[in-house]
Amino acid sequence: MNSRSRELDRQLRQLVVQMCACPSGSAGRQSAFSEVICLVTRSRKLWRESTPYYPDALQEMWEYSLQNIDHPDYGYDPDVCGVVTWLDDRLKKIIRKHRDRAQRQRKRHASATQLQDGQVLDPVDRLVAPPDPQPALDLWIRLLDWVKTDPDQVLSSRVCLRHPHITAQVLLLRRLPPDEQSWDTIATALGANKTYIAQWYSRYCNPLLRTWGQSQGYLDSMDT
Amino acid sequence: MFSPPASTNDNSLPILINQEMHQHAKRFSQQHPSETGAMRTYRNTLAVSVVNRYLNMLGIKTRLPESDSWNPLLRLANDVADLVVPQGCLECRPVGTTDLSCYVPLEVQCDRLAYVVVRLDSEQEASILGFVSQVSSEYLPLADLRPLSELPQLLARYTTVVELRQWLEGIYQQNWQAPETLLQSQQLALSNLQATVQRAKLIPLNLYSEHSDAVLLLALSMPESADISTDTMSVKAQLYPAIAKQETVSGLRFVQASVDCLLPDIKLSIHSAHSNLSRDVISRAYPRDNCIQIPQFQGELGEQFTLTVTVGDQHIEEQFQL
Repeated sequence: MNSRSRELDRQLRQLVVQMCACPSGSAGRQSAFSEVICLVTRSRKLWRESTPYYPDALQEMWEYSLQNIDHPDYGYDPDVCGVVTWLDDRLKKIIRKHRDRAQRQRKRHASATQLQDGQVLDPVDRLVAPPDPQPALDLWIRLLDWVKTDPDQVLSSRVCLRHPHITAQVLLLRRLPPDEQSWDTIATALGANKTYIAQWYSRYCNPLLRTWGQSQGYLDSMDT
Repeated sequence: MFSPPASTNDNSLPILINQEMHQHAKRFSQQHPSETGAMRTYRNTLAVSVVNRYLNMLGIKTRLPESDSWNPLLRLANDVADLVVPQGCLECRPVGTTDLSCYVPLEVQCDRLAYVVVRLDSEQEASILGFVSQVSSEYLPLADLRPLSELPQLLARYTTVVELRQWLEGIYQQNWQAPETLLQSQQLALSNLQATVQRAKLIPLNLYSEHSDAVLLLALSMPESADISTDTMSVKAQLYPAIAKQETVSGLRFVQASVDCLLPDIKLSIHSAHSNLSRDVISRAYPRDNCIQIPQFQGELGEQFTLTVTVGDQHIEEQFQL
């Protein structure tokens, strides 16, 4: 182990001691662990691979390590190995699990099938083409329409007390695409302080959008 | 799309960007009609996703579905990259590899616990550079950032635990409202009207599942002659479907239930390590429940307990201290 590795190992062992001295779930433990993650990640000493499941395996390793670092049976034991080695071992185990799962999934999916006349059907050919992106813009079109027509006068009746000529509708029409005016432009055009107006927008216009969105059921089809 | 980092910051934390994060970012960006808006949404979504991963690594619960950055309408109307956590809201702003400052739009400069800066290094990786608790202009110099390791301490300053004794003094926190704000009269009739104090909170189940939102009602009772500072309190918890319609300035948002009963398989549970208490109740399929409740329990001063609403594999937790 060269001197840089030794120094890293020393720092990490010290941080683990700090972690374990703080109660589970405490800010002190989270903070020390944050430094561990940072030092280890930046050292680039952990096993790396470019499989699609690697980022999730790595995430799982960190979450597991935080929960189990002081576990009596499978926690970190400073007499056995360095911190990086312990983390790396956990990581490789988790990667194996993800790899096995990926292999099982591959076997379950259709493999390329050969037709009687010798043609090979690639399962990719049977996939449905990605949906037309136009429906994605539907939301914007409906929102803009609601803002313009304001059928229940919800937007025009939400008036800025300091500047009564400014309403939720006025601001939304300027901020939404296609206009997307900057706060500088809006402030100048409406004769108001831009910071004040932007804050008013956040506190008084956004809630109206949230309520309308839910009443329209748009959030039901939202991706999570 | 991205260029390799020009220099590395000693305090920065690299986080890998996985396929799912890219998919969300791409899907969200397609909802924006302008190219600049689409690019902005793409970068904002990645930044939020990266900070979400980081907080999860530390065991800090996040409420991503409740964030404006995860709301298609709010994204169209705002340059927003927020991430809701139990204590409040973090703004997660993206920067490029050659930026020396971070752009923070005016409309996100209020009601935030902190502003976290994420440098998008490549398609596969981003680095969290640090954070500040306040901004005073639209351009935040990266040199002003505090180390990321100080973020847990900042979050710890904001309590997530509701102190119930304060309710007896008329002090209510974290969106706990008067029951009549969230419940209709036939629901109030089922509640504990004789309790010393009752407060209700919206549980946004609809953001986490196909269920409509629910209302959690907590009733506290102490005999009038009791000493608030020493005696035990009795607590009763009920869960109702959200069927009343209300709109407040603070943006109370919920989806109205189509019937006045809870859908089946919604679980309400209570857990207290102190008194070794662990109970749950699950809404039935037939007949349907118009409310479910945890039986009354007596708790001691200082005792902490957690109420959890579970649908499928999603949990929403509320923590309390007596």
